[in-house]
Amino acid sequence: MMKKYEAMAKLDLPEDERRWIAGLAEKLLEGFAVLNDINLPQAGDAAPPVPPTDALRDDVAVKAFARDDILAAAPERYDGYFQIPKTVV
Amino acid sequence: MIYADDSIMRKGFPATAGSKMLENFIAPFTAEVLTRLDEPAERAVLSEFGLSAPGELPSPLLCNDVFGHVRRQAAKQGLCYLRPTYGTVSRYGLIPTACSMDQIGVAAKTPSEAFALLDKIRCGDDCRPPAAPPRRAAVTPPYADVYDSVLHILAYAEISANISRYDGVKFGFRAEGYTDLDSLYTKTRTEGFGLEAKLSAMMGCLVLSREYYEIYYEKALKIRAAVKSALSFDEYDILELPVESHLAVLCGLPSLTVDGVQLAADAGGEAWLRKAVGL
Repeated sequence: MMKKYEAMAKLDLPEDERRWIAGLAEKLLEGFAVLNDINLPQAGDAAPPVPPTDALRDDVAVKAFARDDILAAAPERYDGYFQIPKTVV
Repeated sequence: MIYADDSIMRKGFPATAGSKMLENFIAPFTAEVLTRLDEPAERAVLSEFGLSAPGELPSPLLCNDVFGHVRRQAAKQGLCYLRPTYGTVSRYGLIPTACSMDQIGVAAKTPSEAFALLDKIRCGDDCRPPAAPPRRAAVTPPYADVYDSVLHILAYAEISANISRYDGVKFGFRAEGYTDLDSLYTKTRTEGFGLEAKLSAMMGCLVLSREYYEIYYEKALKIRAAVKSALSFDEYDILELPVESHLAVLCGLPSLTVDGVQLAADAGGEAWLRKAVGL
């Protein structure tokens, strides 16, 4: 069952890690089952406990990071861009 | 000397969040919280994205603590851990884990030291200065049996979304030997993440998937909202909780773990916590 979520998470686990995670996931899901026993008093909302408040800044242009600063952190770059494998053959 | 967890960024210095995925990452800016200190903080590497128990904690220490690992370790070492109301301390420059619960707190030798440090890093002042001694209660809060599951479901969902940014393209670790973009992502994440991060990514995908969204993620959100709305601080000011309780984290409440007990107050009620420990 976890194989599907392994692919969704963009992982390709070695067998020992896959077994460890599957075992732990099984225990976690057993624990999560307690939620089924909870009957909420009403339909219930899913609002966060601390309501978000607007903290809007003035609508003015500000200098963000320089392109070179951001690219400096990239594993590979080429001609001012992030470099990735060819996607269109 | 003040220590800061390696997930709090300081411009020009490594910020790895304890992960191989960020082993070469140099912070491009400084976290707001560090700009408020009188001296540069020393880096302390705890665990990968705070997902597992850290080793011995240095003190005083600024760090995020979603799962309660730091709180428990602090209690074990005889330190106190102060977690302020959600939003009290800026998260700008904190490498995110679970955004609805991320909150920089303070581990320190004494509550006095912890509150003194909080006063430096917080935005604004204590908003409800108490006139009388706080009323304490040790009642069991609503739905207490399911906090652990609710916290894990919500945290896994948020962590999974947050760590999706680590793909070997924009920053951090990139695996070698990939053949196309998909294998670049997969090899990088498989080699770059530790086991707990992999577990979190997979469990997050599970609880957010079409099959399980309603029974796990949405139900957990509703339970968290129900807990918050059922929780009343009308008859007491301080709730005494076990160190292990996740109530404060889930509901964004301030809490102080000291002498083997976790004291929680209503949101914005740090002043009650001070009063509760005689400050």
